[in-house]
Amino acid sequence: MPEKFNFNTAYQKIEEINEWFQEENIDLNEALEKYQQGKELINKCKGELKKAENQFEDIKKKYVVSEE
Amino acid sequence: MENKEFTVSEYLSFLNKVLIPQKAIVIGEIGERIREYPNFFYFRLLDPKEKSILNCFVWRRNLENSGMKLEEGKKVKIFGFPEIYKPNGELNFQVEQISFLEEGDLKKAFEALKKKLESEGFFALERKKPVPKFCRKIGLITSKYGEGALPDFKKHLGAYGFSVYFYSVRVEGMSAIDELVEAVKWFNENMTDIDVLVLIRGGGSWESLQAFNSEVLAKAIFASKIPVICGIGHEKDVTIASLVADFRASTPTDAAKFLSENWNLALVNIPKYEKSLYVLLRNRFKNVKEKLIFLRGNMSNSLQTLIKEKRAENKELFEELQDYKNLWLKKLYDLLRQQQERLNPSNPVLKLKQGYSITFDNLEQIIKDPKNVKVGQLIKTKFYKGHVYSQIKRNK
Repeated sequence: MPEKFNFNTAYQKIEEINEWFQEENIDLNEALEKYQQGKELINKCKGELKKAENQFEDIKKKYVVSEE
Repeated sequence: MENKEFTVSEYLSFLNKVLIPQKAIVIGEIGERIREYPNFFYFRLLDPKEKSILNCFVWRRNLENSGMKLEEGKKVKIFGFPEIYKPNGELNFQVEQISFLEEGDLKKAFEALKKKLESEGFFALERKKPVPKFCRKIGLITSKYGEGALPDFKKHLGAYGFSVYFYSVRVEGMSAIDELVEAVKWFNENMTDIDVLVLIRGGGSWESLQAFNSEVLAKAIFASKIPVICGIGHEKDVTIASLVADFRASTPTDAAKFLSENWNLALVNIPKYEKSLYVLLRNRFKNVKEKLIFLRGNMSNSLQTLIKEKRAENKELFEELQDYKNLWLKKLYDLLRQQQERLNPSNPVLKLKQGYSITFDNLEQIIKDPKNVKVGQLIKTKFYKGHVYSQIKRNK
């Protein structure tokens, strides 16, 4: 099973890649790799950002019912 | 019922069965003769106007959880139930919670608890759990009847697909502390994959926020493995719970904004990063291309200079060679002239010039011996200038 997507780590990674590109001397092969990686992460994050509606679930009610 | 006979113990048990469910809040003044035992206290709650006394019993744990000390003359509010203590037949009010009634006392108790927890490291930044930047699963603890907190929170929580698990509790009154503690514990035991716990309550009087100033709730928040955000009251309100919390939001609205602000940012930043990533990569390659062009230019320039230099060098060499050639030629000519001069004495023309002559026979052979010619033969004599023919008269 593929590792569960984590927005926190993905976002952090994207920020890191952007920072990496600001460096003086970068390896071009690495740059291409990082670009690919960044693009994939960005697409995944964009997908996550689209799922918008919030869900509310009443815990206490369920909890109390199961207790009684 | 009337005919039933009880033993004393049975009867007291019967009475207790009726009494214990009579939970109540009672207001009064702490009387003299507070008796302290290792695990519990006895004290008397007085009604000075009506001259009434209620004997009270409180476990030390419950007293400590309420964050206060028993002190004669203080006006307090107690919550608990009545029970007859069989060995002495006295009615005792079992205190589950106790709090001061007067604001001055409450503040003093608050300051004392704050100082104590601070010294125990409850508010230390280094032990606070980091709240994830992007939370999705939220455990929400507040009252469903609250007029401000819940609607405010919902209203300002952006629509980013949050899953909010709502655990309704009382946020005011004597049972609020227990319910709040229970809720924090429940999430920690039953929903460990929650990103964050949010404890909120709308604004109110100082007294109404007292549930959030209890040591037992502070301990529950401290012990929570799930990070806790507290947004209690108004901005000016500082409660023990919000001091212990991993993130202190000033209000329920602030808590909601805190949870959605990073999502807001990401919504703006992700497309920005997408664009900049492409630009960055393109620039990197553009830079390299430019560098290559520059290097190529550099190289051809230096090559041309090199050729020019070599050409100049060759010219010098050529000229040098030419000089050498001339020198050699001159030397050769000199040598030739010398040779020529050395040859000169034997030159026949020179001899002729000096007056010598050469005689040839009719076959143009030089005559070196008269024996080879006969009388009457025609001979040719060559001089420096011109020649003559003569006939031999005598041969000696």
